[in-house]
Amino acid sequence: MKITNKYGVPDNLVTLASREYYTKGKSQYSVTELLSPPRIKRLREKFNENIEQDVSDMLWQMLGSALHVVFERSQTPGYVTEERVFLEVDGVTLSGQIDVQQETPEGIVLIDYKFTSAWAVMQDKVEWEEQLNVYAWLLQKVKGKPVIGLKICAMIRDFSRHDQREDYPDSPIHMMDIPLWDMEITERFVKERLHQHQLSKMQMELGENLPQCSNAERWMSETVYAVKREGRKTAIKLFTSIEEAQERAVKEKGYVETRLGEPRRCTGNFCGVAAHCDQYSEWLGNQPSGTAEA
Amino acid sequence: MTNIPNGWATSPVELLKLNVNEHTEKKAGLTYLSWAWAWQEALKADPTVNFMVHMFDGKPYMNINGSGMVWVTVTMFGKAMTCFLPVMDYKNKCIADPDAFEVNKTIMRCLTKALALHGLGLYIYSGEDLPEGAEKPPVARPRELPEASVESLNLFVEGIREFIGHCSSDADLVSFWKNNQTQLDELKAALPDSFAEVVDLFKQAKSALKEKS
Repeated sequence: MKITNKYGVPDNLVTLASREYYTKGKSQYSVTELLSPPRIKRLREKFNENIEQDVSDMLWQMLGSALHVVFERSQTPGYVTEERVFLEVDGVTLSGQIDVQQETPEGIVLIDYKFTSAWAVMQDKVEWEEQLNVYAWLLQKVKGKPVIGLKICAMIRDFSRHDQREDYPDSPIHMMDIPLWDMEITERFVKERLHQHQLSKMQMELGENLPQCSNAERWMSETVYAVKREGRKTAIKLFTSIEEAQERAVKEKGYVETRLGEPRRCTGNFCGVAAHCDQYSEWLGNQPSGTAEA
Repeated sequence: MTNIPNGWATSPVELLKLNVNEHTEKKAGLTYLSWAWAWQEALKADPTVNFMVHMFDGKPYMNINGSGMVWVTVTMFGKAMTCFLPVMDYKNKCIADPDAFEVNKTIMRCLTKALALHGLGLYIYSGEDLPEGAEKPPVARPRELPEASVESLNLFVEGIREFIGHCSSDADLVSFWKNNQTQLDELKAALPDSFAEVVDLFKQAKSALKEKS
């Protein structure tokens, strides 16, 4: 991947951005890679040299890495920080770097730092649950000690004390309990993910189609219907049902505008390989030219 | 890629310069040129071109200890060039008592090889990527390995050649690939041509299974 510097920031920031704070060591897959869609991993491998990211887009990523480095220094009795564990699964070495292990007489409480937005904290982040459970499974397999709890320590970068929304976090550092899965279920999950990645690797080498990303993996947003009125810029109300929207539009003497759901991970190129992805190209090709309905 | 006026070669020297890469395919680590395309170019270069398949006791191949060798002579630009090629399977091993299909395939390959003696696609047979005079793009050099590792990778490829035929389903092939992923990664980095051969073997095995079902 090439790091560009479009806004002329000091070169030492570019050097920092180019450095990888997390390495997967001698493993073939890190837990993060295992959980990412196989299509993205394969395309990133193939087009690595063509992928560009500007240093300005890496601000939060760099700050997140910096915090991990700082936290690593906070040695406290009863806590193990930033430990990377390795395990061989079906002939493949898998590794995961665990931010914090709180040792208790009953077992380990596993804590993961997330440097994130308030919005992310308010969602049901399935990927966080998957990640922490895979870490727990790895840790139990490697250390033979039970993991009794999973927590996210979310550092909310855009926290506002004035936000009164329901479910909005109370403080800029927000602790979240994550459900702990049964070990057998996690093991099945890990092996299935691994199989999908290995299969995609073979498919890539044989020149076959890569598995498609699911809607969840593409961060597909829901199609909504905006009730609008001539002369007003913003929508009166958004509906997820077209019938309800049309009913309201009649009352308001307005019209309905369809706002099609879109794969935000692809449209925003958060995967980094949207330009090389045939699934995304196909989606783009299928988009209608107009979206307004009278 | 060529400096040939109107894209047509009119001499062996110009045939040597012709870039044939778009008309080749790789199989079992070897590069093959389409015979039909090669013959078309030969006809353009010399409309009087002709070829002859040599006969041995009424057969279009010479019997050598049970295996077959075909012989083809191409006459072009007033000069005859003769080439020979053993009848081989997809592993590039001689076939004992070859059938008509195998002999036919080898004759056409031998024809292409004889055309190469006149200059057309000759660079392929000398292991070059591009015809003479063409500018080569920079390529990544394969990782250098100690001799013992190369030998063990060659043995690994040999093992794949032997056992891939025992895979009786797609799931078997996937499992075979998955279980050898580490060596496959190593092979790809160190011996890309052998890796290409392995990929071809898997492709062939897959299509054979598809045909069967």
